[in-house]
Amino acid sequence: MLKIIYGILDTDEDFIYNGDAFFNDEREEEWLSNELVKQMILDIDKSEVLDNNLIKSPVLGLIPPEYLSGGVKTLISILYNPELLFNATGCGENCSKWLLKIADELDEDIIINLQYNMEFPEGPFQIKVMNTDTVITNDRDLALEALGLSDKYVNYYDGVISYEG
Amino acid sequence: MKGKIDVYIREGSLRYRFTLKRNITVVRGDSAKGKSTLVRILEDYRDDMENSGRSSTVVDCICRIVTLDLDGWKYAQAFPEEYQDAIVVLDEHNKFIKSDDFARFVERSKAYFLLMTRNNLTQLSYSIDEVYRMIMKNNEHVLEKIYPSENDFYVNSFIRHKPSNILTEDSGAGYTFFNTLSIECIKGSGNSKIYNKLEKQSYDDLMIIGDGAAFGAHISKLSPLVEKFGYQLYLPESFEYLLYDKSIFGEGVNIIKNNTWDYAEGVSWERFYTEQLCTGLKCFNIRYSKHSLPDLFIDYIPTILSNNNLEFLLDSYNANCKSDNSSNAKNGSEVTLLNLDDLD
Repeated sequence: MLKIIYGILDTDEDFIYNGDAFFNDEREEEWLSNELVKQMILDIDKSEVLDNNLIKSPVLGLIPPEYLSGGVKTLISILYNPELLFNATGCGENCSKWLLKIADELDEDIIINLQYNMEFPEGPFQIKVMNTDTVITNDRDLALEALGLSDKYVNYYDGVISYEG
Repeated sequence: MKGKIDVYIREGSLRYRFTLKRNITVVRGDSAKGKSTLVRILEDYRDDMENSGRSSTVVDCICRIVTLDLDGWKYAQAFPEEYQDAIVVLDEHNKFIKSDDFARFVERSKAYFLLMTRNNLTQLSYSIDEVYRMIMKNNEHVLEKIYPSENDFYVNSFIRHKPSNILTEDSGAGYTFFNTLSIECIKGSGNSKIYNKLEKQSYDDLMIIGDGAAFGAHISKLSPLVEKFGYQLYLPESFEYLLYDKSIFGEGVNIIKNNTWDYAEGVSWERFYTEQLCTGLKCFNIRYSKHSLPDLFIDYIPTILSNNNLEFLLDSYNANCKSDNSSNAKNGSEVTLLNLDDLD
C-alpha cells in the first residue's frame, strides 16, 4: 500500500529529501532495463530508453539518465529502495498514478512524504494518510483529508506521528 | 527592482520566454516540463561566463539572472543588497526556501525571485496571479497561470451573485467595510486563518474575500473546499487596493493600478497598496490602520463596490450603518476632502 506522511518532516527513518540527487548518486545499471521504469520514462518524460545509460528525449535529444526529470528519477529510486522514506514533493501530479502502480507492484508498503497536496487519479485506490491514520479510496476524499496537512511541521519517530508546537 | 522584466533564454533548440512583474513568481506543476532544465541552463551559462567569458547560450534580459543553491546561500544571506538588481532563480530541492531566513532575504534584497517549488511558502507573501505551470507554446517554454480569474473572482466562482454570508480575510477595516452590507459577515483573521475557519465549519452560500496579492501560498488548500461547497472566491489585490479608489484619490490612482509593476519596488503589492493608501490619506489628515475603517470611506462604499466588480452587492448597502471603530484621524479637526489631482 502507498502510505503518505504530509507535512515538513523530521524523522528517525532513513529519509531521502532529494530523490533527484539520490538517483544520480546511487543509480544501478540495471534500473533502466526494468519494464515499469521504461513505461514511466515514456509517460512522464516522453522519452525512450535506448540502453541502461542512454535515453532519447524529444526535447533534449540523446541524454544520460541524469538528465531525466527529477520526478521520474524519484519514482525509480522509490521502486528500487522501498525501505527508504522518500520526499516525493519533487514529483508532479503526472507522477501520482505511478506511485500507486509502484505500490501495487511491490510486496511491501512504501511510505512517502509530501509537502503539497498532490492530486491522484479518481480511484478507487488505497492510500493511507499516516497523519490521520486513515485509509482513503478516492481522490476527492484524499483532497479533503489532506487539507491543511502539507504545511505543518510533523515528526515521525519510532513509527509515531506527532506535531511540533 | 521594479517593472515588467522580459526574459528570453536559448540553449540549442531549447527556448524559454516569460515576463516577471512582481517580486515573487512561483512555478510548479507536472514533472518533466523544463523547470529544472532551465535552472541547469542558467548554471551552465554562469560557469561558461566565469571560466571563459563566453557562452553559446543566449540570455536576453535587461537585468542579470542568478541561480541560488545551498553553496551560495550563506553569502546571499550576508549580502542581500548585492541581489537588488537581479532575478534570483531557485530550484525546488533547496530546503532553505521554506525558512524565515529566506523570507528576510527576499525582503532585504528587493530582487525578483523565480521559485520552482510545489511547497506552499506560507512565510512569503506572493500573489495568486503569480503561480504558474510551465508549458510549451510555439516551441518555446512559457508560463501559464494555474489560477485563472475573471474580475478578481477565482476557481469556479465566475458567476457572481449576492451571497448569504461573507467571510473577510481580516477582522478590522475590511470586516467593518463589508459589515455595512445587510449580509451576515464573518471574520477570518488573516489569509492563513480563512482555511482554519472553513475546516471547522461549512457555510451556506458563502463569499470569501481575501487579499489576492498575498494568497498564493493558501489557494491550493482552499480551492478543494471552494469547489466542494460552491463558495465564491473574490480576491482583489488587497482590501487597501479597494479603498485606494479614484473617487477619493483622483484618476491618477488608475494609472498606478494599471501599471503597479512600475511603482512597487521589491515588495508585495499588498504592502505597496497599504503604503499608497497611508500616503494618500495623509492629505486628509487621516492615519490609516488595518484595525479600523476611517469614517471617510463609509459614504464611498457604494462607489467602491461599483468600481470593483461588486455591483451586485449594492442593494445590500445600509446607508445608516456606521463604523463601530472611531476614525483614528478625527483628532478634533475638520476633515476636508481633497482630490490628489489638485495637488502638486
